[in-house]
Amino acid sequence: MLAALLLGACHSEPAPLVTVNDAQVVALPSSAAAYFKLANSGGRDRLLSVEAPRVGQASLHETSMSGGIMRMRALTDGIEIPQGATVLLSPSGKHVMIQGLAKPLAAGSAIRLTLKFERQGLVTITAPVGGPR
Amino acid sequence: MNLRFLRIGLWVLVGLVAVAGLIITLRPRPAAPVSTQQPMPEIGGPFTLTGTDGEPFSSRQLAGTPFVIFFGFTHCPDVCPNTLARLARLRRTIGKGDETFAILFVSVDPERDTPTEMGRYVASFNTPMIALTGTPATVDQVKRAYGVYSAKVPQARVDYSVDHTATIFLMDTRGKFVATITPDEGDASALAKLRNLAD
Repeated sequence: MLAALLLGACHSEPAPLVTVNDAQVVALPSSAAAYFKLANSGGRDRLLSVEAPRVGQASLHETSMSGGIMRMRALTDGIEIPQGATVLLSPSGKHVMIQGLAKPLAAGSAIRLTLKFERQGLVTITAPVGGPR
Repeated sequence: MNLRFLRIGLWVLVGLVAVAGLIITLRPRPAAPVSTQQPMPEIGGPFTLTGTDGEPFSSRQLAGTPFVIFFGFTHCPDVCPNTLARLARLRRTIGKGDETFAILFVSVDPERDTPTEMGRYVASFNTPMIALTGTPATVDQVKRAYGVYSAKVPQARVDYSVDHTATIFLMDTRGKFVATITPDEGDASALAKLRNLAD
């Protein structure tokens, strides 16, 4: 009985506990980029997608540099957040791209972003908007 | 009989080694990394593009002003604004005013980047910048002059993105190439080059 319980515990992954910090949005006239830090103090999870309701079409992208060439690709499989890991979405790296802005985003305002995680479900955050820095 | 097989076996082995040696010798070698010591091909040259007012902008208008030139596109929300904001910040750090050197932003996406769109984009940086677009042909001419690569890449949720050279080119008062700032170059090195350009 005890052995079966222990075995069961070993097989079920610990629940993820992802917190979203340091969110910031860099706004341009027709597009914006959002950056934040994902800190996972629980088991593995995956950020599947981000929505920016009533703001624009949000999608996960990654910028890479090689040989002085900038390349940007959609992260169609989302972003893996391993157990206990911190994953940074930052300039010139992984980021949320928001296109087709319903109206220009004013610096000093804030927007809501809904993050959809594979295991943890939906998390809504408020991100302050600034100009390019 | 056994000896005969051994002899044949050994000759086969010798043959294999010889072929392998030949393959290794004749294999094309990877190109040597480009040394910064090598003389640079001529970078830059006169051009005419379109300014944010829709009027032609000639490189002659820059005579007497050092300038930095960066290629990008307005549907680029990450690297392009970060690079332009960095140039603006470094120019402020030098502290000799906006005339120290001009910041040029040339579109590699002239199909989407109208003069108006370019104007709105650079206005976000709250510092004077010269934003230029043109016809695909005139933009191609400038890209060739600076050895800039760009290619459209289809994307899932947006029309397309554009891969492009993210190097910044530093040009003197006569429009002659001075130096580059690469995307991974630190601020200290970039500042030294920009100060040198401004002097």
